[in-house]
Amino acid sequence: MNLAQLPVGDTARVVTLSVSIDLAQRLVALGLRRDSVITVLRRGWLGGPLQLRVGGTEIMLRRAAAQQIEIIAIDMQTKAQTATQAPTEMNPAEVIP
Amino acid sequence: MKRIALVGMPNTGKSTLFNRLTGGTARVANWPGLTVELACSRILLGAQMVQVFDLPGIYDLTGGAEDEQVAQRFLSEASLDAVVLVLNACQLDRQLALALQLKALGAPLVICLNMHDEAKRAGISIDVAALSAALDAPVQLLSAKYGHGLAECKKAIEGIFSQPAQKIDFSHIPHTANSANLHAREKQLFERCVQQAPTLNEGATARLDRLVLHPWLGLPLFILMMLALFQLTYAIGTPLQDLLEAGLTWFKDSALLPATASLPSFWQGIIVSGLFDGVSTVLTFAPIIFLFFCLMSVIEDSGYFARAAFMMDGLMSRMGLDGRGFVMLMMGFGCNVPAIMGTRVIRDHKARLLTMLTIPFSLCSARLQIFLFLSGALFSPTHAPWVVLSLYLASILIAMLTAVLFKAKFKSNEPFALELPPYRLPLLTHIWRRGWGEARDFLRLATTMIVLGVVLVWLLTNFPNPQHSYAAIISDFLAPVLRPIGIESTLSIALIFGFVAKEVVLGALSVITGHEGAALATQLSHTLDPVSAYSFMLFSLIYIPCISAIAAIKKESKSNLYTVFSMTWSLGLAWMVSFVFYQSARLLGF
Ligand SMILES: Nc1nc2c(ncn2[C@@H]2O[C@H](COP(=O)(O)OP(=O)(O)O)[C@@H](O)[C@H]2O)c(=O)[nH]1
Ligand SMILES: [Mg+2]
Repeated sequence: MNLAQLPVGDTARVVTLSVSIDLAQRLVALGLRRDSVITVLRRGWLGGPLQLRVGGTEIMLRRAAAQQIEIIAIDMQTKAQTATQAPTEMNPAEVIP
Repeated sequence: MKRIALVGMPNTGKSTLFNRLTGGTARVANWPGLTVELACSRILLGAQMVQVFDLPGIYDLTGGAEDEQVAQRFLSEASLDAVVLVLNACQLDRQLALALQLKALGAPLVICLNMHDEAKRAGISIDVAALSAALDAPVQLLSAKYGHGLAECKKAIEGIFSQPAQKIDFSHIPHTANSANLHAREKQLFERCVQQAPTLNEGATARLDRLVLHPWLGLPLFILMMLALFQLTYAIGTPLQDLLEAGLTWFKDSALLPATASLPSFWQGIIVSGLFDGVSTVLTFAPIIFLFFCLMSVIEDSGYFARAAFMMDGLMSRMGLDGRGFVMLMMGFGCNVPAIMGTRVIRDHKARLLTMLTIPFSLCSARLQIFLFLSGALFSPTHAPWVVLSLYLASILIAMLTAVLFKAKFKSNEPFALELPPYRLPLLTHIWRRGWGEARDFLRLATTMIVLGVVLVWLLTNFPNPQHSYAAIISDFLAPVLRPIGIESTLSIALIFGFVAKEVVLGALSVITGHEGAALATQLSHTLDPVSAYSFMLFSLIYIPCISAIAAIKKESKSNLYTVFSMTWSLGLAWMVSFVFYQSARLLGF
């Protein structure tokens, strides 16, 4: 599933960013990285961009670019679980690049 | 002398801090990418003279658009005594990497966690001591907008001066897009030092966005805002303008005329009908300028620009532009020059050139003066606001039309991501400073360029003699071009001077007609009818921005050919649009 397919209001975890290197660099700086949790807030009219929330940041991203971002949807139950488990669960895996 | 630089991601409050530190007037707006050039000021910090540099925001230490490169180049070349890294305390989850990177390069860091007020409201608590220990650098909570924590920041900067100045080596920085290691460390640091209380109810920004970004309400809301912008300016400004005009007329009648009565008629003419009439007509617009920019600063600082980019991106992408281009057009409503420079945030050169081609059509505050005056003189008070609004819409439509026509020539497909910052309320001091700053620049212009302009116009219209003046010769020469678009050839001098600065146009008109202020309005209503006046306004809107805008286009495009092309297109289009409007209006019997 890619980010452009995620319904408005839903949350997902980023799997891969297969966008151009320049855009990838910008997205990473804006907090949209592998494993970040991302919410689609709305879609612009006339095929306009997506409004996303990642961490403490809201960004807009065109749908064409969003199609190149692979995600897995998180439904609300597992989200509540990962939220409580997150600190212990994720750190060891993260340190090894 | 010590040198320090303010570094950080866009929109973190660097310019706000710069103004706080130096008492300067760097422009501040809630839009990532407003500062695109270095600013510098000297201050006394403790016992030392310190040179403070405000840099454009950077997302990374390498790569990026031209605005980022300005900052990166400066950082790699300058030897700095302190690098003041400004981070947004609400976005440490993604901004701490910059601190880790700069620290690894050995920069003499002082870290300011700005927007502490917003972080507190969002329930974010930060372990400053742990962060400082982990980064091995002083860390200070700051609220640059309100000045909280400023004294401590200054102390922290002074404290770091004991170390010798350093040059940062930029030659071996790894690309951040795939430096998982850096981001893993960032994440660890964030989780260790920052706690966020879970927020359940949606914030004010989300609630406002539902209205502002509404698919159907968004656009009408934008138009309503434009209408409010100039209507409010006009409603509050006109009484002030009348007052100023009355004062100037009183001065003319009771002081200037008696004082110049004994002078030879040449000198009396040049002083009274040239200088005074011309300049005073322009000067009465100072309150309008002040109010307009006060209101503009509210829009800039609110965060609306980024929403406009979101809202218009779908439409703009069909014209080969993107949402940022629309923001530049809005910025151009103030003045085209900073908007042209603002295109630096667009990385793709062709996309930048196409955006730059559209900006000169943005109805700037100088052109607004002409339109307010003429629409007030020739249309009824109920019609005048709609006339001005129609010109704003024409300005946007013409910009879009230009993009559509040339998008094949400047084909690009730059993928981009843009931050949507939260809505913010500007401080009164900020609004005042922006309004006053622009009004002061306007007065400076009025007392230099415009003085020169109106004196020249007077000389042209009176030499060799008023019946066969140089102005008349020029008018006769241009008449075949201007008659088909309904512009009386006597006005051609005003248009020629409008090429230098649009502010001169009204001054020139008053010199040409020999009337000022209200008398000028009545005089114009005799010589022009609404159709020819509207044609004149359309032409003034489109034909060429002004000398400074052209200089900015040349500087940013680095191409003479492009600059000439842009000017030729504007001039040609202006004539065509006015021609089509004027002739069809006449055909329809108006
Ligand atoms: N709430 C809050 N807003 C701030 C603070 N500092 C700056 N701002 C706002 O943040 C926006 C960006 O500021 P600016 O100085 O232009 O950021 P720059 O791009 O880093 O130069 C503006 O709307 C400022 O008014 C702060 O301490 N608190
Ligand atoms: Mg700035």
